[in-house]
Amino acid sequence: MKDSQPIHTPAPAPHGRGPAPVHAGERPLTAWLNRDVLLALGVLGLAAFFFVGATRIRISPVYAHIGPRFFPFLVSTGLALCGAGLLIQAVRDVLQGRRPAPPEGETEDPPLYWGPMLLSLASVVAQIVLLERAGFVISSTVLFAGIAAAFGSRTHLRNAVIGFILSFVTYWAFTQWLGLRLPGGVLRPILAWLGGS
Amino acid sequence: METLGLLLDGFSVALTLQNLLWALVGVTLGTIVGILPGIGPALTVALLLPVTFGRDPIGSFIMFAGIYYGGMYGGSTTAILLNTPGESASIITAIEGNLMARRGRGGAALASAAIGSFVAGTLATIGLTFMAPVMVNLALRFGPADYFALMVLAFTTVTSLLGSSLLRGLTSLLFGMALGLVGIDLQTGQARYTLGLLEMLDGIDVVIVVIGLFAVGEALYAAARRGAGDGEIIAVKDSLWMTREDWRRSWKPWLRGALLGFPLGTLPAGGAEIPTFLSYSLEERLSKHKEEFGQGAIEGVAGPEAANNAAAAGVLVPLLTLGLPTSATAAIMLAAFQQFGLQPGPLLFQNRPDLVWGLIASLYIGNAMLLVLNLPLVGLWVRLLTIPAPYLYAGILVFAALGTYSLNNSLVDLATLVVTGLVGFVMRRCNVPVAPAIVGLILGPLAEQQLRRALSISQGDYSVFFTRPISATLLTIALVALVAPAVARFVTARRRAQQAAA
Repeated sequence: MKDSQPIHTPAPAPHGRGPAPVHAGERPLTAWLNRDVLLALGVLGLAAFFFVGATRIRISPVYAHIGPRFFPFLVSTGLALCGAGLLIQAVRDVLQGRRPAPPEGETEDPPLYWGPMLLSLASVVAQIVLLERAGFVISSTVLFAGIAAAFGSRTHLRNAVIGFILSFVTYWAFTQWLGLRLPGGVLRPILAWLGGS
Repeated sequence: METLGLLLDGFSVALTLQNLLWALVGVTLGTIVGILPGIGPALTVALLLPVTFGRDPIGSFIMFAGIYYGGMYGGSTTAILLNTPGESASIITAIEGNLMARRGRGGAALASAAIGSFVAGTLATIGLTFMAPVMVNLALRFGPADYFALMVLAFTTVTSLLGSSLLRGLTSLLFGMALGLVGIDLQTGQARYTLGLLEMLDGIDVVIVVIGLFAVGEALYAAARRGAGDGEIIAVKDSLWMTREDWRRSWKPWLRGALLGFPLGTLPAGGAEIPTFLSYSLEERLSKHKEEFGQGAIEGVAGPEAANNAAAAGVLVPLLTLGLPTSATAAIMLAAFQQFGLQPGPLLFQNRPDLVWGLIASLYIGNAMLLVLNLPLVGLWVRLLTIPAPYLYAGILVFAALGTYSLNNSLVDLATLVVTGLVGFVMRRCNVPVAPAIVGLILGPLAEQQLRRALSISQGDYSVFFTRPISATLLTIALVALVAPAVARFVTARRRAQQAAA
């Protein structure tokens, strides 16, 4: 989903902000797959989810006035209206040949690199998978090294060592001084020997 | 006079060695996170909540307030030397201050920002001291209908003033409110949107959402941007002592910034960004050195920096007296109060005067500490900016995961963190502001409660919202706040069209 790519040759944005016009005329299907349209559809989907969910909330018969369904209906209806508004804006932009506005504080659409983003995501997921199996120190070392790599650092061994020291000291401080419980995992024998807990 | 007595009592709480230490820890942490790009006061308070659980609430809140104030000071340092706003209230400083630094006037810019922050912060804290009791008296007269109207007002102003698009702000707010629906219904005990998960019965923790949107979402976006934002740190070449000329040009903007920032901060108007923009344009209009604006004018640093600190104190007025958060940091502070089983509002002033006034007194102390911490030690803080981005974000995420997990020792919370992180990435990518979602998540359930309470008192009669004077007034203001920007846009567009036609 490379919605950041220009549909046609992009014309320069007139004031730095606001959608940049592209050549009007033919509009390929991909023009409709821009992020504004997808956002609007996502919001509408979310509204539908919360609306349908609201009809499934059980109401106790003894409770007279407005019950637990009222506010969910209010919120999901509001969300649906917002989604509809966003969709109208997005469709109008496509029809008039405008591309989505660049992010706040940027003059044009920055290129996005999905590799580093997915590596960051995978590192956080790895933390979930490893935390209670391998323990906090190991899983956080993996997380640290993964994020550092995602941000372009190539000294992987050094990153892992720094991550390990940071995680180890953090584990130590948080469990010994601040009274939090964290999984020791495979290092538990060593940590217990060092900390006596 | 009664207020002064209470304030003195507050000082006797805040000046104990233990609480002074908490204040010092808070302002130091606040300065650090203010300086570091990618981490702000809201995220820091969220990360520290598990650590403070079960500890002394007074000390914890003194620390949180220190983080809040410290973040405002630290943000200006990054803005001036790196041209990257450390937090959103420093956007203006990032423009004019960085230009000063490039002209070799970085020291004067830092000094004017820090002293201005101190002056305005102290003035605004005095304002808070004397305004809080007045607000408390007013708040005691509030019924559920009035509270609901007040929250509607907060919703409209937060969405219409934050971000570039009203529709996107509203979407963000409603998304937050929808998340707030998850869990047990407070009034009837019915489970809502739990998807059959036991862990969801308690609802989605605002702390996780803050960490997910601000830490994980931000990191994912930064990773996808790859290295963007790596600016050049400008060395401070001149002295940190302001010249006589600098003082002469700074003191009025400081005072005007404070006068602008504090009242705007107290309104439910979404925090400290707006006053900085207003102060900047005011100073530009009043300045005798208009030609310097856009090239590094000291007034353009002094005014906005004073305004953002004054607004930060102003935000505490509705938070403490009404339990109404109007910025992301205030929302997470409200969550902190709830964690300690406390509800900010008029009753808190009656039941826990030690906590409220100790907190207010600590703000005076924190401000003084921050001035000392920021001016002579600025060289030390600048070194923080040399931490390479890979290590900065790696460290932030390690602590984000740690903070989330230690809330309940639950992997489901970490999964929620990943999901909200992805949502944060999408919002960032699609220009949807994040702060309204946080406010909606924390205020939504409260608004629902007040709405239903009001309607059960009135036996289901909706006219209560329009017949009670307080609630009717608040709803009218809300309507104006919602409609006025659109009307103004329409009028300017028409005028422009007429000019074009002429």
